[in-house]
Amino acid sequence: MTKRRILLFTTVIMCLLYAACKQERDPCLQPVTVAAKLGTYKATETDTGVVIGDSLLPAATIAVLDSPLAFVYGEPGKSKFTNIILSPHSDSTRIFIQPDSVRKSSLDRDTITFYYNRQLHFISNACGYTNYYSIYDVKSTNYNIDSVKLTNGSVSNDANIENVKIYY
Amino acid sequence: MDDMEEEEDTKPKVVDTVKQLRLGIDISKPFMYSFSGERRSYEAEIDYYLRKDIYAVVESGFGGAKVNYTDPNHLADLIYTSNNVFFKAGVSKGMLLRLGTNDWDMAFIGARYAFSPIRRSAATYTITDVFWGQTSGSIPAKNLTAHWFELVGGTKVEFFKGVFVGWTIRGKFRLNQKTFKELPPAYVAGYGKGDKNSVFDFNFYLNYAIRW
Repeated sequence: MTKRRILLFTTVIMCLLYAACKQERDPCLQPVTVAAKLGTYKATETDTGVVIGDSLLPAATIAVLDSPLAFVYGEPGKSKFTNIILSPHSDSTRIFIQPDSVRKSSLDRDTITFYYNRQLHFISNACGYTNYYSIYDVKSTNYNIDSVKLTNGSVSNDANIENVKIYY
Repeated sequence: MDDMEEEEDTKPKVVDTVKQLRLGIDISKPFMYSFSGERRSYEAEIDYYLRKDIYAVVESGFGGAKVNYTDPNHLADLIYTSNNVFFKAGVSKGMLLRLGTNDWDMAFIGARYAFSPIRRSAATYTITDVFWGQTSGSIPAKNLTAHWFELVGGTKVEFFKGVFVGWTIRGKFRLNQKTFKELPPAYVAGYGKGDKNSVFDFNFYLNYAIRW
């Protein structure tokens, strides 16, 4: 009988433990929105030559053209990096950058166009799908911008990848 | 040393003269999942006593999942269903000494190989972007087959003559992981969460034994 009692006791304990485990849906713990990361740089002439340094663009306005909201990005002046959410509806996205928002002339605005391929990416059942992007070309006007360079075309949920460098 | 040998000799020796076939159903999952509506799982097992506390075991069942993640906080909605059947085969080994030919109470360990054909319906998704609005699309339906290996342990106690209750805990390890990278079913009956390559599971069985 002792053997039977032990087995029954473990049965009761296991049932209680199982009943305590609620079967809940997993939460989404991964980023769903991905963005292209832009860095701004400025060339400075020194005694030893030209040095490329960070440029914070302290009074910049950065906005996306073609967006229903024509939204303005970020908090300029706090970081040299700006994250741009590319359009999931088309294969290119245009933004403008006005380095000094006090000056309102249209000649102070540069337009940057990103050309890319969209890739539907499954994250998880809890998070669903998102779009990853593969940027293959970047073009800009040159009122203030000296040049733009595509450093890494892969736009995913890896926030450490700098995709485009903008030189002033 | 001689004392130990003598003690071994005094243990009752059970001769395997009685044959037993035991049929069981898992009553825990239909009960647990009746509250959620997102999962279904119905599982049954048959074991046959071979000899020396070793049982041949086959298990089967069916079930499915309904994914309808459309609550307002979701930035990416996802809707699809999946259905599957599963089959398992393996052995269990009783770990407790039998006290007589009528003692069928057992604590056991064992192993199973399992496979499951799965039908996942076409899935519709919506990606919500605060700036660009919503993007929707669909993923075609797909047939998948899951293969996995299980290590099991548990108990079975004869409550009344021929009627057993008992639990089984299982560690499950999927063998074909790559197949389930792209939109795995949220739940696979007999296995568990479809996006996990290893899972733990629990069954509570009600069994009936036939002896001759």
